[in-house]
Amino acid sequence: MYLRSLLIIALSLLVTSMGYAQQAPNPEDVLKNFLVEGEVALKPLPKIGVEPSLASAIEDVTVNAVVRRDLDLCGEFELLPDSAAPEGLYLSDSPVDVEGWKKAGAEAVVQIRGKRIGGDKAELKGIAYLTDAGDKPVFNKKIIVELSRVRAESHRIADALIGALTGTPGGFSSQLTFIYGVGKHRRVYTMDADGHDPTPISPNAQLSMTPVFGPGQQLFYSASVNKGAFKLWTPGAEKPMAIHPRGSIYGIAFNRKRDEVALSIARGATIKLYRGKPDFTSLKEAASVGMALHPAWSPTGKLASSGAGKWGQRIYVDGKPVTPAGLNATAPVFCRHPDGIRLIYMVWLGERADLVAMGETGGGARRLTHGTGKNGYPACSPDGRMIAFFSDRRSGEGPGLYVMRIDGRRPKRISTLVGDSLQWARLPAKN
Amino acid sequence: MSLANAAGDSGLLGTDFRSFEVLMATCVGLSVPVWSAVLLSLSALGDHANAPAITTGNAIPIKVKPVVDLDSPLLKKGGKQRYKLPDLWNKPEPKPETPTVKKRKAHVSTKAKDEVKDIPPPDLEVSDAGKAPDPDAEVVADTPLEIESDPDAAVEGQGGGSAAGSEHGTETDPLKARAANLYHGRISGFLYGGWSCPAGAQPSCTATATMTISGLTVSSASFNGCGDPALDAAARAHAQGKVGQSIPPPPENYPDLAPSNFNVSYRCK
Repeated sequence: MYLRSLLIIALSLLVTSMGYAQQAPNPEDVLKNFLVEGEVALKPLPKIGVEPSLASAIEDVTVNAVVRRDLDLCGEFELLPDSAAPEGLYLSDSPVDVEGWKKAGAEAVVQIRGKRIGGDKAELKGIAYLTDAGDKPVFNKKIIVELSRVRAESHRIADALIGALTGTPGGFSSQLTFIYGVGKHRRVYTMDADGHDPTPISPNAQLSMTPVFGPGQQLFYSASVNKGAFKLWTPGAEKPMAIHPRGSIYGIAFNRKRDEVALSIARGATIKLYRGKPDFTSLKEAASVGMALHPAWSPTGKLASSGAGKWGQRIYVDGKPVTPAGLNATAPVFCRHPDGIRLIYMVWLGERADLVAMGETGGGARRLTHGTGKNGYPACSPDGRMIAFFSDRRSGEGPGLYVMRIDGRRPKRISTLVGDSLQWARLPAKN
Repeated sequence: MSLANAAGDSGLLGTDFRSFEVLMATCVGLSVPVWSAVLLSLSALGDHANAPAITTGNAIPIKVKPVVDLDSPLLKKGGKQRYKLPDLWNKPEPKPETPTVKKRKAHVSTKAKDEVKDIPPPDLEVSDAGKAPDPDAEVVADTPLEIESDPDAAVEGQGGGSAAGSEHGTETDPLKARAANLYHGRISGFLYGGWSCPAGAQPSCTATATMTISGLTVSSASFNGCGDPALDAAARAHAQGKVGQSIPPPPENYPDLAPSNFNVSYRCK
């Protein structure tokens, strides 16, 4: 009997080590050899399971709803439906059936929990399991938040889980700002990254445009009062900020570190691009391009804008045109995608408009939308993997604000509002 | 009786209006054409404007001889210049990572009883049993839970590593290993950019290149051909073309994954 037990243990270790040897990855070895064979194959998105929760506490319901939607919107995974979940009780203390999820096809399982602790605090938890790595969690994040901030902080749990499963944190702990309204009623709005809680910011008496988040998440926008010039405003201010050189402001952009600003200012019969300090001082002319609108900074510090070309608007990067002449291109934005920096812009095609992506300084153009009405005013997510844009499409989910992967896959509507001048910025971290 | 008459003021020509009212109406009515006439006369439309004369210079006659160029094509009339956007990217069909699917076969089992339901269907092939199984091995297969009860094995599992790891691996973080795999895919995508197999390349031939990375830029590429001129030329040009380009940055959570060099194998199917 003793000999037999020893034999079992020895064979067990042998079988286990053989199992180890079947799959490789030591990261250093993985990144040493590449095979270029035939054509590149597009891998399907990894499937992940989200443990259902039957808890009735509002904190648990909220964090589950927010994180599940963020994981779905991010476009990095295919979420298995609840119907694919293995059978179980799914109470707050139920163990995760990792093997069951593996049989359902999941590469990873995510468990999200929320509960009230004390009077005004809640504990939010995000736990991840890799189904190939056994039933021990590979990631566990827990944060204590005020009850009033459960929803906002749930996005941080989602970002952390996305970071654990992809290596790069998600970008949902962020805010969108845009202009909504027509004619004389154009107001600045802010909204959560998942389309929650659109809130008007600028007063109705101001004809607003070009909102942007500055240092410390301070919102700036230009607005005209009583048909006057478009001046620089901050929310709630009684007077506009004084800017030199003077002139109507048609575009504002802060760079990635928010230590430099670019402005489109009307000068005589044209609009010129200026750059200066983030407090809008020391503004100097940045390019000689006429009608320079929609300024945008690349992550490497290049300054782009749309501008007048011979046959329509072109996109200029550091004063050099990067879009073909004759293509009526505008509203550029740079995305810091994990595959490299991409320049996204909209192209007018008569009444319609489409989104096009290319390299940081041009080349490799790829159309992202096609034949679905007017798709424009793109904004990049803080993690660089998603684009938000307005669309008046009648097909699919209909007109509204969409987010999609930067390769044009998986567009999903997050709001029914259709506006313009969209910007997307990460919220500052809170300890 | 009208109010005017009641006030003792007789109306003009028997009307209900007082003389003063009729006079005022006449004055106001006449003032419009009178003032129009005054303003028209003041505008002096008959006078010539004092615009500066344009100096045209001396006219020089030249001889114009029309010539018809019969060789050049006629210019197309009208129409806007048309520009074509890049076509919508077509999603290629996903390829299975394990292309070969094992054919279902019936295996010999000691658990099969002498019942009709245990007989495999006639169209199912019976697997080659090969050698007779070791009786001890059968015991191991029936008692897999023994592994978990082994205290040493459990300690080894807690000391780091993953069931999905490599025997010779040093990385204890399965998330980092996963991130490395994803990063490998992104660098592969970068390497596939601009590559196409030349016509007539031998499928058995594999050319290799070693790329040195400085920062995130390919600083140099050394090349080893495999003897197929077409494949060697295409692979060499592709590898050299990557010099100066930037590879995708490493995942934000694992900046240490950025490689300093790697090997690329070129093969045509």
